[in-house]
Amino acid sequence: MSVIETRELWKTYGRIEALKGVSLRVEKGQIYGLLGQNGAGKTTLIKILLGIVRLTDGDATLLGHPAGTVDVRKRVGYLPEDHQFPGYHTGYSLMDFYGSLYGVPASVRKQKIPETLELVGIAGRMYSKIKTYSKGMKQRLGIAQSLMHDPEVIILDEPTDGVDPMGRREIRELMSELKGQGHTIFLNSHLLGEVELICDRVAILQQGKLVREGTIAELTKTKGTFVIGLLSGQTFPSDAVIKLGYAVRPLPDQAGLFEITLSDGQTIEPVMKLLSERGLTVVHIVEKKQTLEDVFMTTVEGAEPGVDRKRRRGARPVGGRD
Amino acid sequence: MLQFIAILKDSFREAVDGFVIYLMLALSAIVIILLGSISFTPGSPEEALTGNGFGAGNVLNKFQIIFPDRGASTAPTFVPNVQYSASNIEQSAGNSVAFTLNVSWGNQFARPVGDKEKDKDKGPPPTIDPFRYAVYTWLEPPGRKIEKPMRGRGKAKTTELELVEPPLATPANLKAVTEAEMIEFLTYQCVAFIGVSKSDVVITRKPDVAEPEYKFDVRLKNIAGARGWPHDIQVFFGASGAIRGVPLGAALYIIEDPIINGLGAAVTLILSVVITAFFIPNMLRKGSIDLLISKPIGRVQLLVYKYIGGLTFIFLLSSFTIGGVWVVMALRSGLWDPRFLLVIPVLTFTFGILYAVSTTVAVYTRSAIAAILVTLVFMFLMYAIGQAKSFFDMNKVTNQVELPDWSYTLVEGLNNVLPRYKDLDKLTTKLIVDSTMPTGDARAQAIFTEFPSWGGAVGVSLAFIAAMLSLASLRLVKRDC
Ligand SMILES: Nc1ncnc2c1ncn2[C@@H]1O[C@H](COP(=O)(O)OP(=O)(O)OP(=O)(O)O)[C@@H](O)[C@H]1O
Ligand SMILES: [Mg+2]
Repeated sequence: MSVIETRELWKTYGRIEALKGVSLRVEKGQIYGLLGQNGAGKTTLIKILLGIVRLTDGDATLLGHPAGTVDVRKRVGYLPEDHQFPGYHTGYSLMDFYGSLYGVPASVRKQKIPETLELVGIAGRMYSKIKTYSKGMKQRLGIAQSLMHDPEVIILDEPTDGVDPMGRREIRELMSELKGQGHTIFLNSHLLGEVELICDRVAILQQGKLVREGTIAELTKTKGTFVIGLLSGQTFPSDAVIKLGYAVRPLPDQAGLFEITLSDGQTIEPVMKLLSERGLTVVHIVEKKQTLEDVFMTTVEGAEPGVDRKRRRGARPVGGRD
Repeated sequence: MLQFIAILKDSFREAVDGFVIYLMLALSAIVIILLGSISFTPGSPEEALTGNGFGAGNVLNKFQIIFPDRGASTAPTFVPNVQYSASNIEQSAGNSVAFTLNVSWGNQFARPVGDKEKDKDKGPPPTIDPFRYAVYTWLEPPGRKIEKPMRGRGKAKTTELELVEPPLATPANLKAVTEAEMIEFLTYQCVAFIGVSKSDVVITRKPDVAEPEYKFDVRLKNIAGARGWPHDIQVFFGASGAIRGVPLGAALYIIEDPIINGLGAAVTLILSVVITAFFIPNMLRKGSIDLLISKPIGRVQLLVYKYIGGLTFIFLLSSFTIGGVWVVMALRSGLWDPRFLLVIPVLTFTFGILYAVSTTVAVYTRSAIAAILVTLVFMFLMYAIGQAKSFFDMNKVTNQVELPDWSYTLVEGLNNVLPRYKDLDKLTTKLIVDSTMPTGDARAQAIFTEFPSWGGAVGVSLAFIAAMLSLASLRLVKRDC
């Protein structure tokens, strides 16, 4: 049984179509990231799972129950985006209130609340009124309240929104730890670098449609782009390589480096063979790898990967010869 | 249950968060201290028993009101041509008074009787003994209730007054009245109108007085704090001038009913409507509601709990105010009748009617301002309908104004379906009358008033609240948050 599953999920708000047939599946123990531009429908999908908004068509289940079932929400923790906690609570009393709503017994709450607040780093301020909290503190409190009842599934809508870099790392570590304990985490985020670091699988929503889905490795695998450099003084035989059926392009900002793009089914071997037949010496060969951000950008822009972009991170040398 | 308590606690926090509640509590405290500064000093027996010296009149005049069946009948009758007067008044040992009660006859319209005036009004001796007839009336079961024709309810309809006809008596019946029964009757009248307790009354008949005149030696103990005994009232711990000769019960009644349960309650209700109007819109605000409905609680449940939670505000406030007023008044007067405390739940319930309207408007509009405006208009309408109903009820009996039949039907129809806001008020008024005034006065107050039933008032109001909350739930359940 999948922890989260949607089939052909549609949602319309009046005339706005927020989701147009989204099908996805999250398995137990995964950290699953949902990406997409503003207004793509990420929050809408989460709200449907929790029964905050009603689906228009299709099917959504959470832990095997239809989305919105009251009882199943006991087993789910949720951090909404743009949350507004009632300012008259202190961090502690809010946790106590929500804990009671989740049915956590008083004795457990008493022990769990300081523990959880400690985990997100705001235990020192737990008796202050929430209206005195900074944005990031509220966000940390939001994460804490989604964890305290030890839920099987944790759904986080932009969990690191407003949190400082140290805090973001702590939250990432926390998520890994939770995953290690067998929790399933579903998150929305715009911070692709983070998603890439912690998510097992990601899906990209665009205008209500699921356009990419897969493990990080699957998504960031290049379609095959190599950068080759020859011994200085040697000329790259562009025409011959193009004749072989490859796309070749000199890199404008790095003289002597050429970018060779493989089409489906091609390998780099014939090019290497041609170069060695001509007695040319390859001193630099790197297979370009995309970051999640690249994947995201190209996906949402509908552009081909491998276009002219500066890349520092993620460039992975696959070999080098003299 | 855990969830319910959690939401109550949450509402409590919300209620005590702002400064407004502290301001209101402070105002209440001032009122309580002010009322606590009132002192009640029993009036002199001379003045109380002759009626000379102040406006309240002679307490003995009320003895003409008789509750038949040895007081078991709450509806009274009158035997007006008996006159009661006091002479040889002595205040003994502080709190007791001894006097001679003179019973004689007079004309239809009883007047305060000074010794000199007495003979002038007396007229010729009656053919039957009026005092024996009064005692006989008290002993016998009540007669039929007196009926008045009613207007606007079909030509032949009548209404019953809480007033009964006096019995028929034969000379033999009157002769059979014993001295012990006379003393029993007079003791009952002292208890019913002066408000002393039965054990504090000692009456003996003086021999050698020719019937139909009678003289009794009466000794009353503990007149300070007796509900029907005139008292002098001073504010600011005795610093102010005194209002003289107000029966203690009447003074307490005026403080507790028109002032606290009337004016005070109205102010509290209006302020509470304003403050609590923000609770539901705040909960429904974007960013807040998600946090709650993602918890394992149904939306209807959430709304109902939150509604009940909203009542904590006024419950706190009225508990403090009513409780405080009750304690200081009891300390000052020595009367510890707890019935006044019932105003707390009734006021909370009355607010519940208003808050149901506020909640529903808030769910539909998410606007606190809209909730306040609609609720205040509704409050005014309820008040107007209640006033109209009281007037029409009165007019049914007195026929002061000629009104068409349909107007009666309209007012009663509206009153039947709308929550019984005014009825609740009438009922608490009765409660306060009963708890402050001596039994005789309290019953006499009710003669011309038609009292609604608690069941009806609470039942219709509850139905209204349920209907309002259903309407609100309907919207909340359907809505995407
Ligand atoms: N309550 C609503 N009423 C009408 N339209 C809505 C409502 N909530 C969301 N939408 C619309 O649905 C679409 C998807 O919104 P959603 O909040 O799911 O986007 P998102 O992917 O979470 O965006 P973001 O990254 O900005 O949080 C948007 O076009 C939005 O305008
Ligand atoms: Mg969103």
